Amino acid sequence: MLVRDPDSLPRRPRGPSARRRRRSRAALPGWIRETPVGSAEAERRSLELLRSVVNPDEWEMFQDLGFICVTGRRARRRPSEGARGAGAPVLPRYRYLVYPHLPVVALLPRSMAPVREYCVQFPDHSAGGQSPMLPRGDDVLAKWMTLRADEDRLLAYANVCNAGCQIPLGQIERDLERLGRWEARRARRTGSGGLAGAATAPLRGGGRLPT
Amino acid sequence: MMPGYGETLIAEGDPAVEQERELLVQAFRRQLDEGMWAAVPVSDAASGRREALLVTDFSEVPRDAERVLFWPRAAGGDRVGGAAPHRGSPTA
Repeated sequence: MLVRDPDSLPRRPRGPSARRRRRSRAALPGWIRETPVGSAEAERRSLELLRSVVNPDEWEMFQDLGFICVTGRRARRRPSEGARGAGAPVLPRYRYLVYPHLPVVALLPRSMAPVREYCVQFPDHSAGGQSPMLPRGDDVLAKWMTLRADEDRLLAYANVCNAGCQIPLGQIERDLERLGRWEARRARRTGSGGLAGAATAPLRGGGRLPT
Repeated sequence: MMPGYGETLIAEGDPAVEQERELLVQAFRRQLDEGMWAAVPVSDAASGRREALLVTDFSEVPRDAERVLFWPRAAGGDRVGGAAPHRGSPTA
């Protein structure tokens, strides 16, 4: 257990900001042994945690593009296939663009056409006087872990809108083009065939394909 | 993971040591009681890809897990204009 006695910290001058800090600390849950850090340090820690958990290519993607393309694990339902489809590669129902502090964008797996926005946040109201929003890296990591481990759980909690509701379709299209170029560059550099299950294709119909 | 920290250590110990395990179990339950979600970073044995395993009980944590991450459970996010949501369950 990391234990840091708050009384051992240097005394700060008393004033309005000191009172705010005391109020903030008093409101924190008892198990927290550390005083809050500045937003820049929280951001740095969150990005370091993200780097340590996601795959190296996903971290690289996040650094270069500002989002991560995640493949969902729910299989598309194909009731007509029956036993004939057994053993055939199963497409995920959706792929997702995971942005920090923006909705998760669901894409059709083959065409990469955006079809839904899943608006989801992870507010923490136990953090005393802090903003209830997680730092950027934590927000992305929370989405990544939930999507990879239990996609349905995340989607069940989200507000669902059509694609383009908050993130303009033009931006999504540009990001997918950037992703395609990024994957091609990376594949050339590493000699691989691109990211596992994250192949991209140009948008059709201006990115407004029906589901 | 929490606002204002990025990450903060809640507890650490060796689950093979009974006393330490009890502390870890208590810390785990406290987090879930406070409405947190928990996951263990894992690697897929076949592909080597990093994955996450959501856990709702300490017994589900793999024996070789190095850490368990907690974060506030999801809530429906704010929409900025646009159509009404198809569904929503902001429960946090």
